[in-house]
Amino acid sequence: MNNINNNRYANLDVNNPAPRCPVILLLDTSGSMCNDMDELNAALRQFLRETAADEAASRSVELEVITFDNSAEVAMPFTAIADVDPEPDPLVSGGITAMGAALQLATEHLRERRKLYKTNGISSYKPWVILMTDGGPNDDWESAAQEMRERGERGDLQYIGVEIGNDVDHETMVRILPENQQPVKLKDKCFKQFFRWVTASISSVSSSAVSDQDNICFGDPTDWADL
Amino acid sequence: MNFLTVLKMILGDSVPLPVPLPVKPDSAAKKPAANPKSTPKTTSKSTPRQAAPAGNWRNGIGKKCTPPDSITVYSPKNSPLKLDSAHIKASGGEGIIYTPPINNADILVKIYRNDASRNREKMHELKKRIYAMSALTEVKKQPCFAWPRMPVFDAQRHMIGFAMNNFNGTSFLSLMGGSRDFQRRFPQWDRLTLAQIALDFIRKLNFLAKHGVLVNDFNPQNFLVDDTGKVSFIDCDSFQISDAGGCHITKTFFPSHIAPELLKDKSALTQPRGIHQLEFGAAIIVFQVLMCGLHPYNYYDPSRQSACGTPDENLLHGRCPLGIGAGCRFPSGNWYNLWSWLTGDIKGAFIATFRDGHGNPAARTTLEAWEKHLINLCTVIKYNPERRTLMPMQPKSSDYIGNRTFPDFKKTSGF
Ligand SMILES: Nc1ncnc2c1ncn2[C@@H]1O[C@H](COP(=O)(O)OP(=O)(O)OP(=O)(O)O)[C@@H](O)[C@H]1O
Ligand SMILES: [Mg+2]
Repeated sequence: MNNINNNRYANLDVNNPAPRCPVILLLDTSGSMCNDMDELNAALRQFLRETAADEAASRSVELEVITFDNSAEVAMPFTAIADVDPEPDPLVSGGITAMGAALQLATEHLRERRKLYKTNGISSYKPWVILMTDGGPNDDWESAAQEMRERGERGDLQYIGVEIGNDVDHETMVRILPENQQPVKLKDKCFKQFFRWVTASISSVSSSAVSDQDNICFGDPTDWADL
Repeated sequence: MNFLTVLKMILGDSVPLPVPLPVKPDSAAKKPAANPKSTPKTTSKSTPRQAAPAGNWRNGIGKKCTPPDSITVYSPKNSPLKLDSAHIKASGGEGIIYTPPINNADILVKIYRNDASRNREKMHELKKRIYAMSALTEVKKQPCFAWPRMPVFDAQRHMIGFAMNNFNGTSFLSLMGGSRDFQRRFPQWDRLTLAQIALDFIRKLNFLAKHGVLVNDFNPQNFLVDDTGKVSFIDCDSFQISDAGGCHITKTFFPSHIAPELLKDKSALTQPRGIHQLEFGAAIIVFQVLMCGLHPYNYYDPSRQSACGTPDENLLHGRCPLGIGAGCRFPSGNWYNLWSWLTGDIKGAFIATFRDGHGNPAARTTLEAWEKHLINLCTVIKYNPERRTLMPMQPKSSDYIGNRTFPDFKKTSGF
């Protein structure tokens, strides 16, 4: 059971005038991930710390963490990054890979979050979804994947699929992700480099004007991406 | 003579900056290279820290960019200075900012990115602007602008950047995270401090305008405030400079902080901008400073949700939440309370700029008027402590009178 935040602050701070950037981490915690969990947990703590320390990102980023193994679970519901405990209990691995269920949860929660922004007059950047796996779904995923894939193809979502190790079901990943945002293989154990890149990229986004976010180019991914 | 000596001479203004040669871009490129003492060593191994200019990877995750590990630059008198990636302080869209390894010199060196410096024509224009800026001695003397102090060159004697003063302080962005965030960061400050910061900002903007210099890029990150509340301006190479030789324009703008007529017709950006465009951008910053970061076009009407765009869209289309009393259309939160405790003339000045002035640039509040209103606001807040808070529990009631007995009180409409 992965739970890294008790949801005390998960409500929306309407007195924060910054446009929001909802970010969902979809993390594979199936049994096969056991040799990567220490690095993943350390990188996650670094991500929480560094993103909260970045002035622009700390106001904009609202993070949700969903883990998937035998089932999909919300380890942390949407929470302003400034309010997240930077030293959460480590995620643990075990079980199969219920990725389809995780995609379903992410789709629903993103929809709800965007609606919440809308009904409060809060503007937002396009959401970020980061899907990390070392395998492939053991459950139904086709319909669960559809909405986010289409959003990505329309340019409404920054969708990043990260493949860990050599046993990823690449063909399925290609079908889950938008055509224009294909999965990227992580260099061996380069979780920290990857999350540092995410922090820097989201920082650039959240210090830009909402109408300008598509003109931002992210930093060099080559120290984590096996391209 | 080393780099620092040259810099000191120039900072002390004992040496005039070299006079720009009136050459065309092409002939400038063909000028024989001077003889530097060493050639710059560059390698292509990359250690970039931040976003690079546009151009995305096939999967939309970024672009490989390779700033050199080290670069040697030269002063106007040819003294070399080696800068390497350990000296990088920040990198912007156009250039990389280095803290040069020179003791006791509180300066930074901005080096334009390779792609910019390879573009001869652009660099030629930039060079003309930098030299025009250097000739504005009255402005250069002011300690609050990151004015170019000395051009720096590459081994081929092409200008590739400049040295400027380093400023401490935090950007205006840190004033703009809402009242809770503001009080956490600046526990000693309140709305009076914010009004004073806005006043200092307007005065400095006006000083520049009086010298033919217009700020083009109202990105809140281009304005810094130190712990005494003093404002300084960075990114000065994006300013529009007018001198006897004409007008040096830049097309730079920040999309959420620009006059709508420029947003509607981008070709207008190739023409010199005018004072009314400056007034518009300035008013957005003043609004956000006084309102803890709320954007003046953050329009929200719960009964017509689908018609409430983002602030950028609303700016373009003139959907403005400001009004008198119940006419305001702010998003959820404490915004109306915060707004209501401003003085009537400040509110009127915003309404004039963002409503009436949206389609009619001449209706926008002038910098002189802003100065007057902000001085008045500071006085009113000083004598009415209930106006100091950034978390007012209720709006100011229409029959609120307050203390008007302070020295030099002048009755202003709506107070
Ligand atoms: N004089 C200065 N004092 C302190 N910090 C500075 C100064 N000049 C630049 N910086 C820092 O470097 C960053 C980038 O500087 P600058 O805006 O001049 O670069 P740029 O390449 O023109 O960026 P942009 O394209 O975003 O305008 C600034 O946001 C600031 O953090
Ligand atoms: Mg600039």
